[in-house]
Amino acid sequence: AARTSDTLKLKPTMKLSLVLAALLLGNFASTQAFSPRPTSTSSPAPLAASSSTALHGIRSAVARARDSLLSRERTDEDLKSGIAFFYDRSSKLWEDVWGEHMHHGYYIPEDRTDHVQAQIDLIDEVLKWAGVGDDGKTPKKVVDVGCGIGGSSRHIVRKYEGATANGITLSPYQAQRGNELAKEQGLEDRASFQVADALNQPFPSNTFDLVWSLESGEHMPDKQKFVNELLRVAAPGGRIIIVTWCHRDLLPGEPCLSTKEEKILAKINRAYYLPKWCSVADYVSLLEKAGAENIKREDWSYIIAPFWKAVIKSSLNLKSLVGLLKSGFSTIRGAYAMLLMLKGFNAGVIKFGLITCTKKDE
Amino acid sequence: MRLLTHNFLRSNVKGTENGYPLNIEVTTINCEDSPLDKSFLLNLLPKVNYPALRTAVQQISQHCVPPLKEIPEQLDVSDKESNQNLDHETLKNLHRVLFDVYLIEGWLVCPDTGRKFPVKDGIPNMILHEDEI
Repeated sequence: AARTSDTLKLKPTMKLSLVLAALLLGNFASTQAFSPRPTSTSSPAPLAASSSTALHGIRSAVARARDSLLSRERTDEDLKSGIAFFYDRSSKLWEDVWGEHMHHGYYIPEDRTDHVQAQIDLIDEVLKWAGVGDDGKTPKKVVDVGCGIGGSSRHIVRKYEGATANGITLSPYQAQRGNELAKEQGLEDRASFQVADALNQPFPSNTFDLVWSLESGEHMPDKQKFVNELLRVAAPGGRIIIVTWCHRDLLPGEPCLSTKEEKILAKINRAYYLPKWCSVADYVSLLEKAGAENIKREDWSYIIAPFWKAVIKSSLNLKSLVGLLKSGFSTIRGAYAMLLMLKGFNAGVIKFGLITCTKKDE
Repeated sequence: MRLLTHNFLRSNVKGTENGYPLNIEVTTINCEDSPLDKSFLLNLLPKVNYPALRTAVQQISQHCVPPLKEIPEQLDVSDKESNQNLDHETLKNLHRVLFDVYLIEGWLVCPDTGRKFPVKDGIPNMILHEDEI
Protein backbone atom coordinates (compact mmCIF):
# COMPACT_ATOMS: atom_id res chain seq x y z
CA ALA A 1 0.00 0.00 0.00
CA ALA A 2 1.27 3.48 -0.80
CA ARG A 3 2.42 5.63 2.07
CA THR A 4 0.38 8.76 2.60
CA SER A 5 3.08 10.93 4.13
CA ASP A 6 5.72 10.63 1.49
CA THR A 7 7.03 14.13 1.12
CA LEU A 8 10.71 14.62 1.36
CA LYS A 9 11.96 17.82 2.89
CA LEU A 10 15.48 19.17 2.66
CA LYS A 11 16.77 21.05 5.69
CA PRO A 12 16.63 24.78 4.85
CA THR A 13 20.39 25.18 5.34
CA MET A 14 21.14 22.33 2.98
CA LYS A 15 18.82 23.84 0.40
CA LEU A 16 20.40 27.25 0.74
CA SER A 17 23.96 25.97 0.45
CA LEU A 18 23.11 23.97 -2.65
CA VAL A 19 21.47 26.97 -4.33
CA LEU A 20 24.45 29.17 -3.44
CA ALA A 21 26.89 26.56 -4.70
CA ALA A 22 24.99 26.23 -7.95
CA LEU A 23 24.77 29.98 -8.48
CA LEU A 24 28.44 30.49 -7.67
CA LEU A 25 29.58 27.73 -9.96
CA GLY A 26 27.09 28.76 -12.61
CA ASN A 27 28.50 32.28 -12.66
CA PHE A 28 32.07 31.04 -12.74
CA ALA A 29 31.40 28.66 -15.56
CA SER A 30 29.08 30.98 -17.48
CA THR A 31 31.38 31.11 -20.49
CA GLN A 32 30.53 27.47 -21.08
CA ALA A 33 26.84 28.30 -21.35
CA PHE A 34 26.96 29.39 -24.95
CA SER A 35 28.72 26.58 -26.72
CA PRO A 36 26.98 23.22 -26.81
CA ARG A 37 29.04 21.18 -29.20
CA PRO A 38 27.04 19.02 -31.57
CA THR A 39 28.37 15.51 -31.22
CA SER A 40 26.65 13.96 -34.20
CA THR A 41 29.39 12.56 -36.42
CA SER A 42 27.31 12.57 -39.54
CA SER A 43 27.44 16.29 -40.35
CA PRO A 44 30.73 18.09 -40.97
CA ALA A 45 31.67 20.90 -38.58
CA PRO A 46 31.12 24.35 -40.12
CA LEU A 47 34.28 26.22 -41.08
CA ALA A 48 35.31 28.94 -38.65
CA ALA A 49 34.74 32.66 -38.42
CA SER A 50 33.99 35.32 -40.79
CA SER A 51 32.65 38.39 -39.00
CA SER A 52 29.10 37.46 -40.06
CA THR A 53 29.54 33.96 -38.59
CA ALA A 54 30.74 35.52 -35.34
CA LEU A 55 27.68 37.80 -35.25
CA HIS A 56 25.44 34.81 -35.93
CA GLY A 57 27.21 32.97 -33.11
CA ILE A 58 26.50 35.79 -30.67
CA ARG A 59 22.87 36.09 -31.79
CA SER A 60 22.23 32.35 -31.37
CA ALA A 61 23.96 32.35 -27.99
CA VAL A 62 21.72 35.19 -26.81
CA ALA A 63 18.67 33.38 -28.19
CA ARG A 64 19.62 30.24 -26.27
CA ALA A 65 20.11 32.18 -23.05
CA ARG A 66 16.74 33.87 -23.53
CA ASP A 67 15.05 30.53 -24.19
CA SER A 68 16.66 29.09 -21.08
CA LEU A 69 15.50 31.96 -18.89
CA LEU A 70 11.98 31.66 -20.26
CA SER A 71 12.09 27.85 -19.90
CA ARG A 72 11.08 27.52 -23.55
CA GLU A 73 10.37 24.06 -24.88
CA ARG A 74 13.22 22.64 -26.95
CA THR A 75 12.82 21.61 -30.57
CA ASP A 76 13.28 17.93 -31.42
CA GLU A 77 16.52 18.75 -33.22
CA ASP A 78 17.84 20.67 -30.23
CA LEU A 79 16.80 17.80 -27.97
CA LYS A 80 18.63 15.15 -29.93
CA SER A 81 21.94 16.97 -30.15
CA GLY A 82 21.43 18.41 -26.68
CA ILE A 83 20.89 15.00 -25.10
CA ALA A 84 24.05 13.65 -26.70
CA PHE A 85 25.95 16.77 -25.57
CA PHE A 86 24.55 16.69 -22.05
CA TYR A 87 25.40 13.02 -21.50
CA ASP A 88 28.78 13.28 -23.21
CA ARG A 89 29.56 16.02 -20.70
CA SER A 90 27.89 14.64 -17.57
CA SER A 91 28.32 10.88 -17.67
CA LYS A 92 31.88 10.85 -16.35
CA LEU A 93 31.03 12.86 -13.25
CA TRP A 94 27.98 10.72 -12.57
CA GLU A 95 30.04 7.55 -12.92
CA ASP A 96 32.78 8.90 -10.64
CA VAL A 97 30.31 9.68 -7.87
CA TRP A 98 27.60 7.06 -8.41
CA GLY A 99 29.02 4.28 -10.56
CA GLU A 100 27.72 2.56 -13.64
CA HIS A 101 23.97 2.78 -12.99
CA MET A 102 22.31 5.99 -14.09
CA HIS A 103 18.90 5.45 -12.56
CA HIS A 104 16.97 5.60 -9.28
CA GLY A 105 17.48 3.23 -6.40
CA TYR A 106 14.99 0.96 -4.66
CA TYR A 107 14.61 2.38 -1.18
CA ILE A 108 13.11 -0.40 0.81
CA PRO A 109 14.05 0.00 3.62
CA GLU A 110 13.55 3.74 3.24
CA ASP A 111 16.68 4.72 5.13
CA ARG A 112 19.13 2.43 3.37
CA THR A 113 22.41 4.08 2.50
CA ASP A 114 23.92 1.47 0.19
CA HIS A 115 22.92 3.51 -2.83
CA VAL A 116 24.66 1.50 -5.53
CA GLN A 117 23.09 -1.70 -4.27
CA ALA A 118 19.75 0.12 -4.20
CA GLN A 119 20.20 0.88 -7.88
CA ILE A 120 20.98 -2.75 -8.65
CA ASP A 121 18.00 -3.86 -6.56
CA LEU A 122 15.76 -1.59 -8.61
CA ILE A 123 16.58 -3.57 -11.77
CA ASP A 124 15.90 -6.87 -10.02
CA GLU A 125 12.67 -5.66 -8.42
CA VAL A 126 11.39 -4.30 -11.73
CA LEU A 127 12.12 -7.60 -13.48
CA LYS A 128 10.37 -9.43 -10.66
CA TRP A 129 7.35 -7.10 -10.80
CA ALA A 130 7.12 -7.58 -14.56
CA GLY A 131 7.13 -11.33 -14.10
CA VAL A 132 10.26 -11.99 -16.15
CA GLY A 133 11.20 -15.63 -15.78
CA ASP A 134 7.96 -16.55 -13.99
CA ASP A 135 7.06 -19.01 -16.73
CA GLY A 136 10.45 -20.67 -16.52
CA LYS A 137 11.73 -18.91 -19.65
CA THR A 138 14.41 -16.27 -19.26
CA PRO A 139 15.19 -13.68 -21.93
CA LYS A 140 17.90 -14.51 -24.45
CA LYS A 141 18.00 -11.37 -26.56
CA VAL A 142 17.64 -8.08 -24.79
CA VAL A 143 17.60 -4.53 -26.10
CA ASP A 144 18.39 -1.71 -23.68
CA VAL A 145 16.77 1.43 -25.08
CA GLY A 146 18.51 4.52 -23.76
CA CYS A 147 21.19 2.44 -22.14
CA GLY A 148 23.36 5.06 -20.45
CA ILE A 149 26.78 3.50 -19.89
CA GLY A 150 25.18 0.08 -19.94
CA GLY A 151 24.71 -0.77 -16.27
CA SER A 152 21.34 -2.45 -16.83
CA SER A 153 22.51 -4.42 -19.85
CA ARG A 154 25.51 -5.83 -18.06
CA HIS A 155 23.51 -6.70 -14.96
CA ILE A 156 20.80 -8.43 -17.00
CA VAL A 157 23.17 -10.58 -19.04
CA ARG A 158 24.91 -11.60 -15.83
CA LYS A 159 21.55 -12.47 -14.31
CA TYR A 160 20.19 -14.61 -17.14
CA GLU A 161 22.29 -17.41 -18.53
CA GLY A 162 22.86 -17.29 -22.25
CA ALA A 163 21.43 -13.78 -22.62
CA THR A 164 22.93 -11.12 -24.88
CA ALA A 165 22.10 -7.43 -24.85
CA ASN A 166 22.31 -4.59 -27.34
CA GLY A 167 22.20 -1.10 -25.87
CA ILE A 168 21.48 2.09 -27.77
CA THR A 169 22.23 5.67 -26.77
CA LEU A 170 22.50 9.03 -28.52
CA SER A 171 25.76 9.73 -26.71
CA PRO A 172 28.97 8.48 -28.34
CA TYR A 173 30.77 8.85 -25.01
CA GLN A 174 28.27 6.58 -23.31
CA ALA A 175 28.46 3.90 -26.02
CA GLN A 176 32.24 3.94 -25.75
CA ARG A 177 32.19 3.75 -21.98
CA GLY A 178 29.57 1.00 -22.11
CA ASN A 179 31.77 -1.15 -24.32
CA GLU A 180 34.82 -0.43 -22.16
CA LEU A 181 33.04 -1.48 -19.00
CA ALA A 182 31.72 -4.61 -20.72
CA LYS A 183 35.26 -5.53 -21.63
CA GLU A 184 36.53 -4.80 -18.09
CA GLN A 185 33.83 -7.01 -16.66
CA GLY A 186 34.46 -9.84 -19.10
CA LEU A 187 31.07 -9.31 -20.72
CA GLU A 188 32.05 -8.00 -24.12
CA ASP A 189 30.62 -11.08 -25.79
CA ARG A 190 27.33 -10.56 -24.04
CA ALA A 191 26.67 -6.83 -24.10
CA SER A 192 27.44 -4.33 -26.84
CA PHE A 193 26.52 -0.70 -27.26
CA GLN A 194 25.79 1.42 -30.30
CA VAL A 195 24.94 5.02 -31.05
CA ALA A 196 21.38 5.04 -32.32
CA ASP A 197 18.03 6.76 -31.98
CA ALA A 198 15.32 5.05 -29.93
CA LEU A 199 12.73 6.55 -32.25
CA ASN A 200 14.37 4.81 -35.21
CA GLN A 201 15.94 1.68 -33.86
CA PRO A 202 18.46 0.08 -36.23
CA PHE A 203 17.17 -3.42 -35.61
CA PRO A 204 14.96 -5.73 -37.64
CA SER A 205 11.40 -6.21 -36.37
CA ASN A 206 10.55 -9.11 -34.07
CA THR A 207 14.07 -9.44 -32.68
CA PHE A 208 14.16 -9.13 -28.89
CA ASP A 209 12.41 -11.16 -26.22
CA LEU A 210 13.00 -8.43 -23.67
CA VAL A 211 12.72 -4.75 -24.57
CA TRP A 212 14.02 -2.70 -21.65
CA SER A 213 13.70 1.04 -21.18
CA LEU A 214 14.78 2.25 -17.75
CA GLU A 215 14.49 6.00 -17.26
CA SER A 216 14.96 6.90 -20.89
CA GLY A 217 11.35 7.39 -21.96
CA GLU A 218 11.49 10.88 -20.48
CA HIS A 219 13.75 11.98 -23.35
CA MET A 220 11.52 10.78 -26.18
CA PRO A 221 9.81 13.71 -27.92
CA ASP A 222 7.30 11.49 -29.72
CA LYS A 223 5.86 9.01 -27.21
CA GLN A 224 3.73 7.29 -29.85
CA LYS A 225 6.75 6.65 -32.06
CA PHE A 226 8.76 5.52 -29.06
CA VAL A 227 6.10 2.99 -28.06
CA ASN A 228 5.67 1.79 -31.64
CA GLU A 229 9.40 1.16 -32.01
CA LEU A 230 9.50 -0.74 -28.70
CA LEU A 231 6.73 -2.99 -29.97
CA ARG A 232 8.21 -3.34 -33.43
CA VAL A 233 11.56 -4.70 -32.28
CA ALA A 234 9.99 -6.99 -29.69
CA ALA A 235 9.71 -10.65 -30.67
CA PRO A 236 6.19 -12.12 -30.81
CA GLY A 237 5.32 -13.01 -27.22
CA GLY A 238 8.22 -10.88 -26.04
CA ARG A 239 8.04 -8.55 -23.04
CA ILE A 240 8.40 -4.78 -22.93
CA ILE A 241 9.26 -2.96 -19.72
CA ILE A 242 9.15 0.83 -19.45
CA VAL A 243 10.24 2.57 -16.25
CA THR A 244 9.99 6.29 -16.56
CA TRP A 245 9.25 9.66 -14.98
CA CYS A 246 5.73 10.82 -15.77
CA HIS A 247 3.45 13.53 -14.54
CA ARG A 248 0.43 12.53 -12.45
CA ASP A 249 -2.60 11.12 -14.22
CA LEU A 250 -5.08 13.82 -15.09
CA LEU A 251 -8.37 13.62 -13.25
CA PRO A 252 -11.49 12.91 -15.33
CA GLY A 253 -12.48 16.16 -17.00
CA GLU A 254 -9.12 17.80 -16.30
CA PRO A 255 -7.71 19.03 -19.64
CA CYS A 256 -4.12 19.62 -18.43
CA LEU A 257 -1.86 20.21 -15.45
CA SER A 258 -2.05 23.48 -13.50
CA THR A 259 0.15 26.40 -14.55
CA LYS A 260 2.22 26.01 -11.41
CA GLU A 261 2.79 22.32 -12.18
CA GLU A 262 3.67 23.07 -15.80
CA LYS A 263 6.20 25.68 -14.64
CA ILE A 264 8.13 23.19 -12.50
CA LEU A 265 8.29 20.73 -15.37
CA ALA A 266 9.28 23.37 -17.92
CA LYS A 267 12.31 24.36 -15.83
CA ILE A 268 13.36 20.73 -15.39
CA ASN A 269 12.96 20.17 -19.13
CA ARG A 270 15.45 22.90 -20.00
CA ALA A 271 18.03 21.43 -17.63
CA TYR A 272 17.63 17.78 -18.56
CA TYR A 273 16.85 18.13 -22.26
CA LEU A 274 13.37 16.70 -21.86
CA PRO A 275 10.34 17.13 -24.09
CA LYS A 276 6.81 17.56 -22.78
CA TRP A 277 5.87 15.01 -20.13
CA CYS A 278 3.02 12.55 -20.33
CA SER A 279 1.29 10.45 -17.68
CA VAL A 280 1.39 6.71 -17.05
CA ALA A 281 -2.22 6.63 -18.25
CA ASP A 282 -1.04 8.14 -21.54
CA TYR A 283 1.52 5.35 -21.95
CA VAL A 284 -1.14 2.75 -21.27
CA SER A 285 -3.43 4.12 -23.97
CA LEU A 286 -0.54 4.44 -26.45
CA LEU A 287 0.34 0.81 -25.84
CA GLU A 288 -3.28 -0.24 -26.20
CA LYS A 289 -3.49 1.67 -29.46
CA ALA A 290 -0.36 -0.10 -30.71
CA GLY A 291 -1.82 -3.53 -29.98
CA ALA A 292 0.12 -4.48 -26.87
CA GLU A 293 -1.31 -7.16 -24.60
CA ASN A 294 -1.31 -7.85 -20.85
CA ILE A 295 -0.62 -4.23 -19.98
CA LYS A 296 0.21 -3.68 -16.31
CA ARG A 297 1.12 -0.44 -14.50
CA GLU A 298 2.40 0.64 -11.12
CA ASP A 299 3.48 3.79 -9.24
CA TRP A 300 6.76 3.48 -7.35
CA SER A 301 7.22 7.17 -6.54
CA TYR A 302 7.31 6.51 -2.82
CA ILE A 303 9.85 3.68 -3.21
CA ILE A 304 12.42 5.77 -5.08
CA ALA A 305 11.78 9.08 -3.31
CA PRO A 306 14.82 8.90 -0.94
CA PHE A 307 17.08 8.74 -3.99
CA TRP A 308 17.04 12.50 -4.78
CA LYS A 309 17.97 13.48 -1.27
CA ALA A 310 20.85 11.01 -1.49
CA VAL A 311 21.98 12.42 -4.82
CA ILE A 312 21.87 15.98 -3.53
CA LYS A 313 23.80 15.00 -0.40
CA SER A 314 26.41 13.27 -2.57
CA SER A 315 26.97 16.44 -4.56
CA LEU A 316 27.81 18.47 -1.44
CA ASN A 317 31.37 17.31 -1.03
CA LEU A 318 34.57 18.73 -2.48
CA LYS A 319 35.21 15.94 -4.99
CA SER A 320 31.73 16.25 -6.49
CA LEU A 321 31.77 20.04 -6.54
CA VAL A 322 35.14 20.08 -8.29
CA GLY A 323 33.87 17.49 -10.73
CA LEU A 324 30.75 19.59 -11.33
CA LEU A 325 32.87 22.64 -12.02
CA LYS A 326 34.98 20.70 -14.51
CA SER A 327 31.97 19.27 -16.31
CA GLY A 328 30.60 22.59 -17.40
CA PHE A 329 27.45 24.66 -17.20
CA SER A 330 24.98 22.08 -18.46
CA THR A 331 26.01 19.59 -15.82
CA ILE A 332 25.85 22.26 -13.12
CA ARG A 333 22.40 23.20 -14.28
CA GLY A 334 21.50 19.51 -14.15
CA ALA A 335 22.65 19.39 -10.54
CA TYR A 336 20.54 22.45 -9.68
CA ALA A 337 17.53 20.84 -11.33
CA MET A 338 17.68 18.07 -8.74
CA LEU A 339 16.03 20.53 -6.36
CA LEU A 340 13.27 20.96 -8.89
CA MET A 341 12.81 17.20 -9.17
CA LEU A 342 12.45 17.02 -5.40
CA LYS A 343 9.91 19.86 -5.53
CA GLY A 344 8.01 18.06 -8.25
CA PHE A 345 7.82 14.83 -6.27
CA ASN A 346 6.72 16.67 -3.14
CA ALA A 347 4.06 18.51 -5.08
CA GLY A 348 2.70 15.21 -6.38
CA VAL A 349 3.16 16.22 -10.00
CA ILE A 350 6.15 13.96 -10.75
CA LYS A 351 5.62 10.22 -10.60
CA PHE A 352 7.94 7.28 -11.10
CA GLY A 353 5.91 4.91 -13.22
CA LEU A 354 6.30 1.29 -14.31
CA ILE A 355 4.53 -0.12 -17.35
CA THR A 356 4.89 -3.58 -18.81
CA CYS A 357 3.17 -5.50 -21.58
CA THR A 358 3.73 -8.28 -24.09
CA LYS A 359 3.69 -8.36 -27.88
CA LYS A 360 1.06 -10.52 -29.45
CA ASP A 361 2.34 -14.03 -29.99
CA GLU A 362 2.19 -15.39 -33.51
CA MET B 1 31.94 -3.71 -33.56
CA ARG B 2 31.88 -7.48 -33.88
CA LEU B 3 30.05 -9.45 -36.54
CA LEU B 4 27.65 -10.59 -33.83
CA THR B 5 26.48 -6.99 -33.48
CA HIS B 6 26.50 -6.42 -37.24
CA ASN B 7 24.17 -9.40 -37.57
CA PHE B 8 21.43 -7.48 -35.75
CA LEU B 9 21.80 -4.07 -37.37
CA ARG B 10 19.84 -2.71 -40.28
CA SER B 11 19.24 0.61 -41.98
CA ASN B 12 15.91 2.16 -41.08
CA VAL B 13 16.09 5.17 -43.35
CA LYS B 14 12.60 6.19 -44.47
CA GLY B 15 11.64 4.42 -47.65
CA THR B 16 14.25 1.68 -47.33
CA GLU B 17 12.75 -1.63 -48.31
CA ASN B 18 14.93 -4.02 -46.46
CA GLY B 19 18.10 -2.31 -45.28
CA TYR B 20 19.55 -5.65 -44.27
CA PRO B 21 22.16 -7.00 -44.13
CA LEU B 22 24.48 -4.00 -44.20
CA ASN B 23 27.54 -4.31 -46.38
CA ILE B 24 30.84 -3.76 -44.61
CA GLU B 25 33.64 -1.48 -45.81
CA VAL B 26 36.75 -2.00 -43.74
CA THR B 27 39.24 0.72 -42.90
CA THR B 28 40.74 -0.79 -39.76
CA ILE B 29 40.09 -4.21 -38.33
CA ASN B 30 41.41 -5.99 -35.24
CA CYS B 31 41.46 -9.64 -34.48
CA GLU B 32 41.70 -10.99 -30.97
CA ASP B 33 41.73 -14.44 -29.48
CA SER B 34 39.13 -15.48 -27.00
CA PRO B 35 38.32 -18.97 -25.73
CA LEU B 36 35.35 -20.81 -27.14
CA ASP B 37 32.39 -21.05 -24.78
CA LYS B 38 30.58 -23.93 -26.43
CA SER B 39 27.30 -23.82 -24.55
CA PHE B 40 27.03 -20.05 -24.93
CA LEU B 41 27.66 -20.31 -28.66
CA LEU B 42 25.10 -23.09 -29.08
CA ASN B 43 22.58 -21.00 -27.15
CA LEU B 44 23.22 -18.06 -29.41
CA LEU B 45 23.34 -19.73 -32.83
CA PRO B 46 19.56 -20.08 -33.36
CA LYS B 47 19.27 -16.29 -33.03
CA VAL B 48 21.90 -15.59 -35.69
CA ASN B 49 20.98 -14.82 -39.29
CA TYR B 50 23.44 -17.21 -40.91
CA PRO B 51 23.43 -16.03 -44.57
CA ALA B 52 24.06 -12.48 -43.34
CA LEU B 53 26.94 -13.71 -41.20
CA ARG B 54 28.49 -15.60 -44.10
CA THR B 55 28.28 -12.58 -46.43
CA ALA B 56 29.86 -10.40 -43.76
CA VAL B 57 32.72 -12.85 -43.31
CA GLN B 58 33.37 -12.84 -47.04
CA GLN B 59 33.47 -9.05 -47.08
CA ILE B 60 36.02 -8.67 -44.32
CA SER B 61 38.09 -11.85 -44.50
CA GLN B 62 40.80 -10.42 -46.75
CA HIS B 63 41.50 -7.65 -44.22
CA CYS B 64 42.16 -10.04 -41.37
CA VAL B 65 45.59 -11.22 -40.41
CA PRO B 66 45.65 -14.17 -40.41
CA PRO B 67 42.78 -14.54 -42.89
CA LEU B 68 39.58 -15.94 -41.42
CA LYS B 69 38.98 -19.63 -41.82
CA GLU B 70 36.01 -20.65 -43.92
CA ILE B 71 32.68 -21.28 -42.26
CA PRO B 72 30.19 -23.68 -43.87
CA GLU B 73 28.45 -22.35 -46.96
CA GLN B 74 25.05 -23.24 -45.60
CA LEU B 75 23.91 -23.92 -42.08
CA ASP B 76 20.47 -24.22 -40.59
CA VAL B 77 21.26 -22.66 -37.23
CA SER B 78 17.67 -22.89 -36.03
CA ASP B 79 18.08 -26.66 -35.77
CA LYS B 80 19.39 -26.96 -32.23
CA GLU B 81 20.03 -30.67 -32.60
CA SER B 82 22.23 -30.40 -35.64
CA ASN B 83 24.06 -27.48 -33.99
CA GLN B 84 25.01 -29.87 -31.20
CA ASN B 85 26.55 -32.17 -33.77
CA LEU B 86 28.79 -29.55 -35.35
CA ASP B 87 32.46 -30.50 -35.16
CA HIS B 88 34.82 -28.63 -32.88
CA GLU B 89 36.73 -27.01 -35.75
CA THR B 90 33.54 -25.48 -37.19
CA LEU B 91 32.46 -24.24 -33.78
CA LYS B 92 35.86 -22.61 -33.27
CA ASN B 93 35.61 -20.86 -36.63
CA LEU B 94 32.08 -19.70 -35.90
CA HIS B 95 33.16 -18.41 -32.53
CA ARG B 96 36.07 -16.55 -34.11
CA VAL B 97 33.99 -14.77 -36.72
CA LEU B 98 31.23 -13.86 -34.29
CA PHE B 99 33.30 -12.73 -31.33
CA ASP B 100 36.95 -12.17 -32.15
CA VAL B 101 36.89 -9.85 -35.14
CA TYR B 102 36.41 -6.14 -34.43
CA LEU B 103 35.69 -3.51 -37.03
CA ILE B 104 37.37 -0.44 -35.53
CA GLU B 105 36.99 2.02 -38.41
CA GLY B 106 34.88 1.62 -41.48
CA TRP B 107 31.41 1.89 -42.90
CA LEU B 108 28.17 -0.06 -42.85
CA VAL B 109 26.45 0.37 -46.20
CA CYS B 110 22.75 -0.09 -46.85
CA PRO B 111 22.23 -2.68 -49.62
CA ASP B 112 19.15 -0.82 -50.91
CA THR B 113 20.11 2.84 -50.87
CA GLY B 114 23.88 2.85 -50.41
CA ARG B 115 23.55 5.06 -47.32
CA LYS B 116 26.76 4.76 -45.28
CA PHE B 117 26.76 4.55 -41.49
CA PRO B 118 30.14 5.34 -39.96
CA VAL B 119 31.94 3.04 -37.53
CA LYS B 120 34.38 4.97 -35.32
CA ASP B 121 36.38 3.54 -32.43
CA GLY B 122 34.50 0.32 -32.92
CA ILE B 123 31.10 1.94 -32.45
CA PRO B 124 28.57 2.15 -35.28
CA ASN B 125 26.61 5.39 -35.41
CA MET B 126 23.15 4.58 -36.68
CA ILE B 127 21.56 7.96 -36.09
CA LEU B 128 19.59 9.21 -39.08
CA HIS B 129 19.72 12.67 -40.65
CA GLU B 130 16.62 14.83 -40.42
CA ASP B 131 15.56 14.08 -43.98
CA GLU B 132 15.82 10.32 -43.54
CA ILE B 133 13.22 9.97 -40.83
